[in-house]
Amino acid sequence: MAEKILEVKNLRTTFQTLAGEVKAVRGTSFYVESGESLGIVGESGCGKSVTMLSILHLLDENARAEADAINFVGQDISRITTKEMRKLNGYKIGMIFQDPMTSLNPVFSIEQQICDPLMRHLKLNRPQARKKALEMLETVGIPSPESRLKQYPHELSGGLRQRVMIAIAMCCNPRLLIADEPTTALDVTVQAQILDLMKQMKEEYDTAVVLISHDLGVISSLCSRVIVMYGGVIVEEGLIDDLFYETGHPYTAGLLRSIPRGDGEKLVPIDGTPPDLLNPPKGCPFAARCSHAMKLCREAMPPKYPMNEHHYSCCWLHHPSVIAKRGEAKLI
Amino acid sequence: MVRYIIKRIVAGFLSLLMLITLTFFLMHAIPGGPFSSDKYRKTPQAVLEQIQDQYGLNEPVYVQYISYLQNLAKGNLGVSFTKLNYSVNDLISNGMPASAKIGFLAILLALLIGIPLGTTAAVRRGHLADGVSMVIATVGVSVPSFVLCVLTMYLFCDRLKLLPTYGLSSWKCYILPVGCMAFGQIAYITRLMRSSMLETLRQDFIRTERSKGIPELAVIGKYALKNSILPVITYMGPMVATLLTGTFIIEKVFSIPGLGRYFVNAIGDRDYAVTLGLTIFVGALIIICNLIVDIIYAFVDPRVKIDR
Repeated sequence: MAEKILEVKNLRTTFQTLAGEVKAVRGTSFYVESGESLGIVGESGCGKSVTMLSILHLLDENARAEADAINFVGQDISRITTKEMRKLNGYKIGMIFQDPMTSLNPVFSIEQQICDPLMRHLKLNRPQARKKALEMLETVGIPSPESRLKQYPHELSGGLRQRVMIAIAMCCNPRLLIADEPTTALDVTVQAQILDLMKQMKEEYDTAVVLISHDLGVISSLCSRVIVMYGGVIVEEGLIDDLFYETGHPYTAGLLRSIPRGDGEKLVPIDGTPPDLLNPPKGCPFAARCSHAMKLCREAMPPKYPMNEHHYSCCWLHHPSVIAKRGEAKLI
Repeated sequence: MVRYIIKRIVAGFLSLLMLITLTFFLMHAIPGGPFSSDKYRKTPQAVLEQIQDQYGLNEPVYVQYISYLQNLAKGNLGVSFTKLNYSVNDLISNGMPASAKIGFLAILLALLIGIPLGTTAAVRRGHLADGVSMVIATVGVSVPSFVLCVLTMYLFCDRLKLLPTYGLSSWKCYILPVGCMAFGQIAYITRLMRSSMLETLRQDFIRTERSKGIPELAVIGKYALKNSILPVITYMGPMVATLLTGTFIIEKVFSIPGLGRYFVNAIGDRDYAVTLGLTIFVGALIIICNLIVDIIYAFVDPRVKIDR
């Protein structure tokens, strides 16, 4: 078994707002193995981005993140200061964001933006950093990198900018790359190119990737393992095939039914809205929208029920006495 | 670049011509003239006629206008009507150095205090530093400068006897006028900087800088600052021009031989030549400062293209 480069135990993130305390992430635990690619899927506001931003100390001031432990390549980073974290950011952990149009600093040249982390983390001097930056732009498939280096973000298209973002995130050869909806703001053809590029970079640099997306299609094209989040908790985790064919949670099933498959079948939306995280329900967060919900679901949070070695689901339907009464759940 | 500057200079001349024309005719439209005040009540009518004739004030206004423009083209701003044997050019070259020195120091002080103060307020939003700087900024904007001048004069000159009340004879003389002049500007720049910095810190690219592992000090002091300083640069154009040419109140209170007080006195005296001359001078300075600011702006913000 491969080494776990990131292991998160019981991460809890809250935001102080005028309305009260929003419990955005309510105890998530997961791991990332070296060189693998993990997908985190869920709808807007389910806590998928907040989970990763908490680990990287990239949240706003009104956020508070706590965890029992966050092990990153043998070091517990759950209690380090933001200042210490910045020595890992961009060096051991790279990150790509959703909107390349706003994620690059408009008044600094591409060269300045790539060279800064290179000079800081790898202790390169200016010419060395420039040379490395050129190499990186070439690697991410940017034509005539020499002239692009001198340009400013507004002179580049969205796809090119996202390539620049990838070059910046990968320039110090990080162990882990976190991509937060990297293709959401791009049109479909560019989306495919960026995904291909990420796949190629992952192979070339042997970097583990965490891909955050609401699009199971995007996740399935890159990831081998998937976490499904809902209402601030992980509801199901498993290899991509397990998730598609041995679906263990009604929410996952709902997500799968709402992807167009191109066979003319009608899409089935999930009725209702996500839970209010100011006052999260005490039972399963999905109970209010779930067609299989029982009385128990509203009362108590379901534990993890292992489906196989890599696959578990947090749903009362897998409790032995429920199976005995209702039989194996048919979710798909 | 060169084409752009030439274009702007031509445009500047046109606006200056408009400014001259408007000021000229408005000045002449105000009732009374340079020699109709109480001072000349006892002067015989024939003498006044003679003086008016000498200055060409009995000609129709458009003739005066044309002859003024002709003189102006030669770089001659005319002769003061109320100060004997003083040309407006002399007035400017006498008053400008004192005003410019004080103005320059005030600009420097305002930028050196306003930018860091506004930035700190934004970064520590809701904390003590923010509260303190916002109180300073509000006081600075709302307290009129004559109140500030008199109060500080009373405190530092009369009570504490630390600083002189007038003149420009030693470096100590500069402290109060420069401080009083800068105070309002510090307040304005602090507010401008704070709101602009808050806006910048909300942007996605700030999170990108942090995700690259840039320490917070560099994120704020380098990457956010260059974005949020743009409104301050814009504001600097008119600010530099008006501060360099002096403020009436401060020059009056501290008895500084600067330009500002000539300007206000000239309007009261209907001294057409001095009023017009100083208006043209300040107007030209504002136009030049704005041009410089626009060029600096293009260097700071690459999205602004000036070659067009």
